[in-house]
Amino acid sequence: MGFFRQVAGHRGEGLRAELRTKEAINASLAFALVILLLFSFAFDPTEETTREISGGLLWIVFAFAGALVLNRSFRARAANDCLDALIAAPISGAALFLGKAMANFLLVTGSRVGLFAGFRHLLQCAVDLAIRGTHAGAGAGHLGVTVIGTIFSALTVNIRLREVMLPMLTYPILVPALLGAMQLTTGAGGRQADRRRTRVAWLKMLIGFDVILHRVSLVLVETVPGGMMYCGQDGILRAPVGNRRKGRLPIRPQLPKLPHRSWDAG
Amino acid sequence: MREKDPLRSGICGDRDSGVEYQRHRGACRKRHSKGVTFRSSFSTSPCGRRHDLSLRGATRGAWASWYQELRFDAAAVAVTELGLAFTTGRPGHRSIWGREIGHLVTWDARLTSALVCWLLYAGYLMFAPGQLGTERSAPLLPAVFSIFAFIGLSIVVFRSSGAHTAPAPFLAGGSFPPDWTKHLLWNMVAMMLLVS
Amino acid sequence: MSAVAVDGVWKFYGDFPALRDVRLEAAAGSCLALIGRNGAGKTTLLRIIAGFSRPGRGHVRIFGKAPRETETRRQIGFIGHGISVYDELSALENLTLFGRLYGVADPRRSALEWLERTGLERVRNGLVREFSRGMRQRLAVARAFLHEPSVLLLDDHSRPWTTAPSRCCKRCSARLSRRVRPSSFRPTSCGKPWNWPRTSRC
Repeated sequence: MGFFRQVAGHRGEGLRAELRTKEAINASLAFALVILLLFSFAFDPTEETTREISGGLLWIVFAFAGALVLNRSFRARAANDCLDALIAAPISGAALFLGKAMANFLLVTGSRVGLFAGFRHLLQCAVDLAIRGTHAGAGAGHLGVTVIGTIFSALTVNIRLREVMLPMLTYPILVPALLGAMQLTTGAGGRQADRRRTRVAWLKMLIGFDVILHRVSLVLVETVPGGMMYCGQDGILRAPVGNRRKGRLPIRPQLPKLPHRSWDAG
Repeated sequence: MREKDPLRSGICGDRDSGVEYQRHRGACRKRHSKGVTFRSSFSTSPCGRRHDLSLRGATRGAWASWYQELRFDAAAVAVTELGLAFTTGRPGHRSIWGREIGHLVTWDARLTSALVCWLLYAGYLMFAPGQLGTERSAPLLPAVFSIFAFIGLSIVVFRSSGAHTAPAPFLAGGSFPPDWTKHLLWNMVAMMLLVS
Repeated sequence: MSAVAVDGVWKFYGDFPALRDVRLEAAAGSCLALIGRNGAGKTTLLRIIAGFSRPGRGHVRIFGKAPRETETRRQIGFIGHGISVYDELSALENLTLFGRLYGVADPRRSALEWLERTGLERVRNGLVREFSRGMRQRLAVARAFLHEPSVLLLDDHSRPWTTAPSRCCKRCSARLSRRVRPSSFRPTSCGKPWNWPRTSRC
């Protein structure tokens, strides 16, 4: 099966499953609206300061709401041991990762539309969508959040406290992406030429961040699902097989044989 | 010390008040005495060296984990624990001098990257082999995380220097007196002996 | 060439050796039941053979190749502790998806065939989360047999299968053995291996 067909298959499966249950979308939208409501109480919408920090507020909402979607992306696969079935199947880990990331990106971007409207209504300051680069910046920001969130969702699928660990591990690495996205979304103040130069610089940084971490994720994803995953596809980095270690582990002492117990026979 | 041309260095503010001001990024900021700056840097800078080494140690551990050298995992965790301690000390020292400096923290490249580094160290230690979950999560997953952390932190360092900093960084201008160099080096040696 | 060859496999969980120098071979067409008490390492060994886990030492070969190679994965059918199907998809969608992943020629037709063999053709469009336990187990059987594997790994360690899925599994194995010679590997703690049909040469 071709690589891109595998990607399309995983993307379709992820979208179909989520659109049927709508668990993650409902949870993230509801959570985002609650945060916006709290912000509308905390900040005076008429203040100029609120307009200046509007980009930051918006991306805080996106980051927290997106974490709910990303948390589910591999956790739902871990239920019923579906991840074992995916690992056992003759597919590329990179295709699985890309498919999931694309599905997550579409879900997160879809919720963005509703949140822009909610932001305008509750905080009474609109994101200036007319500014060139706002859409590109928001899209690139979401892409970075989705790529890192998906790979870390796979990293944390089998550990305890995964709901806590996923945001804790993801947000520090997402700092540049969130910085850039906030700057591009706000973009207020200053001269026109300076603003455009700054926005172009931030957009370049954001795109570079996305490209670099996307490539690194594709290379490293083969080691991630279930903690240990080989790759067998051409061109993908291969993790070493255990027998190549040539006895580097220390020899453990022989443990005494446990006595046979009659109640263990059944 | 060289005399600075007030026009070129952008001296502003009330010169008769006895307080030095300096123009920085379009704003007129109070200029702080060198004594405070360098006194704080003698403890902050060795902490910073320690946490830089820890970051490199963690990524070295990541590389070693890839080739299944388990003993380097233990070394990476130990190095990261030390790095966490010293990264905690770095902004802490800055905060100790905050009263004299005038503010507790500035979001310049150094402190921003130190904060992000602290969070990454804490996440790595929680994620380290044997800390959470089953054996399957160790040791390659913390190694993968540390690779992402290294790349992400590098981007943070490069980019946060361009971000809006409030207040502006207070280290501006001046030069390092040569006779203070040996004090700094002795301090670094003491820190290294302390941790080894 | 043996179907499954395990040579000097050790597995450590921290300092604890779950497996110590395990060596075994299973010839093609054979059926091997692994019987042991709780905590003996049966599931661990099965997961190493299936390629989910790496041994600390030693190696595993399936038809002379490593378990994680693409061609080898295509030849393995695995039923673990879970049913390994998606709750939010229907039975037909699940089997079609796995058929595509395993490179089955006509995934939809194969999925319908195996649903009929496992007695799930009436509920092919129902979501898996609405299935009963027995129906889920049958679907797991269908998923494992869908791509006609050469090696079957069946782990029923702590899951008492109801009678109908057990019979279903044996029927499917018998049908499959008329076309290929599957080797099945079945750890169990019950002390009594299945009575496989004679055609599977157990």
